Amino acid sequence: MNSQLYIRLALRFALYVLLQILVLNHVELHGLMNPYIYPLLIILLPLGVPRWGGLIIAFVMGYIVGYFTNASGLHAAALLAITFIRPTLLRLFFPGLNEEEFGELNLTRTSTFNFVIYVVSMVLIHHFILFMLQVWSLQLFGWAFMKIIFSTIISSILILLAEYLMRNKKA
Amino acid sequence: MRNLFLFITKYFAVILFVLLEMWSGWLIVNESDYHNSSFNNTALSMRGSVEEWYSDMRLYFRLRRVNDSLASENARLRALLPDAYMIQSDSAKVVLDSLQHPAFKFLMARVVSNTFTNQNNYLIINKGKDFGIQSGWGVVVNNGIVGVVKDVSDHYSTVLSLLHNKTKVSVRVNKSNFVSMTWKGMNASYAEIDDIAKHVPLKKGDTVFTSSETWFYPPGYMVGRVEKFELNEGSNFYSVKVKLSTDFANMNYVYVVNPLMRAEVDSLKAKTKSDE
Repeated sequence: MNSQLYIRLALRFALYVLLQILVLNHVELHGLMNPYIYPLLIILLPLGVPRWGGLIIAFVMGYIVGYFTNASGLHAAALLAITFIRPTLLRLFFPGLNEEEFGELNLTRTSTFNFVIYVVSMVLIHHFILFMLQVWSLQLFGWAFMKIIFSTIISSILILLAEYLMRNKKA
Repeated sequence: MRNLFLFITKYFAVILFVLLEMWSGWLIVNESDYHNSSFNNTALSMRGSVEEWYSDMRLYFRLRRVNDSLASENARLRALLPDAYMIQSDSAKVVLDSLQHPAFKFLMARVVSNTFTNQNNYLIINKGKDFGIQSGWGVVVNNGIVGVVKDVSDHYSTVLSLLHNKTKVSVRVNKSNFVSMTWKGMNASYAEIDDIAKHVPLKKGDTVFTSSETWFYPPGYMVGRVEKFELNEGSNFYSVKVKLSTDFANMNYVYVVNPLMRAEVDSLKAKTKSDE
C-alpha cells in the first residue's frame, strides 16, 4: 500500500545525498554561497510519514551528508530542527491541508506563492542554524549573516527548480 | 506509571527530537575539537575508497587543467637544472660534490577528498603508511602550501588543511622576522598575518614565503601575496590580508614533504630543553 511511497522516498534520499556530497559540496561562490539541496527531502516529506519517522530520517540524512565534510553534527542538528518545526509551518502556510492524507507535497496541490514562501522559510531556518553553529564565534556573526542570506537565496532557487523539474516529469 | 506512559506516547516526537539534537550537539563538540578530530583507521579507509572512485571520475574532466599546471611546473623545474645556467665568470668552476645534502624529499599524492567551505577543513590523500608518510609532514602544491598530515592509515592520510581555525604557519614577508599566518575562516582564498612590525616596508603584491623556522614546509616556499595591509590603531603591528596562491577549489595532485633533517633538529631541540 504505502510501500511504493517509501521506495520513492528511499530513492530520493539516495539521489539528494549523492547530489549533495558529489556535486554541491564542491561549490563555493565568492566565499558566501554554499548551495544545499538535501533539505528538499524534508521539505517535501509525505504528510503520512509519522513525526518520529521524519526525525529519524532527518538525523540519518544530516549525519551522512555531514560525514563527508566532517560536520555530521552540524547538518544533523539543522535538519532535525526544520523537521521538528515543519508541521507548524505547514499549518501556517497551508491552512486547508489535510494532515491525514498520505500524499506528497507538490506545487500542483498548493498555491505557488505559499509554496515558495514555505520553501524559503524552511531553507532560511536550516541555513541559519547550520552557519551559526558552524561559525560559533561572535566576531564572525556579520559574515555568517551574509552567508546565510546568500546561501538561502541560491539553495532556495535550486530547490524550487528541482521540485519544478520533478513535477513536470510526473505530469 | 500509567501517566508516565501516556506522557511518553503523547510527546514521543518531542522527546525524540530533544534526544537526537543532544546527540548532534555531542557530535559537533567532538568534531570541532582539534585534538579529537582524528579519523580512525577503518573509517578513513572506507571514506577514502568511496571518495576515490568519484575523484577518479572528476579528475578526468580536469585533465586539461592538470596538464597545464604540470607543464608550467616542468618549465619552472627545467629552469633550475644545471644546464639552464651559464657560467659567466671564468674564475668560477662548478664542482659537483657531496657537500649538498638534500633536506627535503617530495612524494606525489592524489587528493581524494577535500573540503574548503567549513571552518575547519581537511583533505584525504591516497598515500599512507605504505609510502612511509608520517603525521606532521607538510603538504604542498606547485605554487603554494596546503597543510600538514594529521592521521595516517595504511593507504590514506588525512591532511589538516591550511583552512583551519588552528592553523599557524611561520612565514616571512620582505625583511620581516618570522611572523605567523592564521586563517580566520571566511574565504578559502585569503589568510591573515597580524604581527608584522611597523618598520617593515610593505607594499601590495609582496610575496609571502614560508620561513626557515618551520620544518613542515621547505623554507622560501611561496604561500601567497600581500593583498591589503593596514596599521592597527594604537599598535605597532600591521594586520595584513594575504591572497593565498594555493587554489583550494581545484586541487588534484599534491606533494607530501618528507623533512629529512627534522629528526636531527628535533633531537637537538630536545637536548637544549633537557639542559635548561
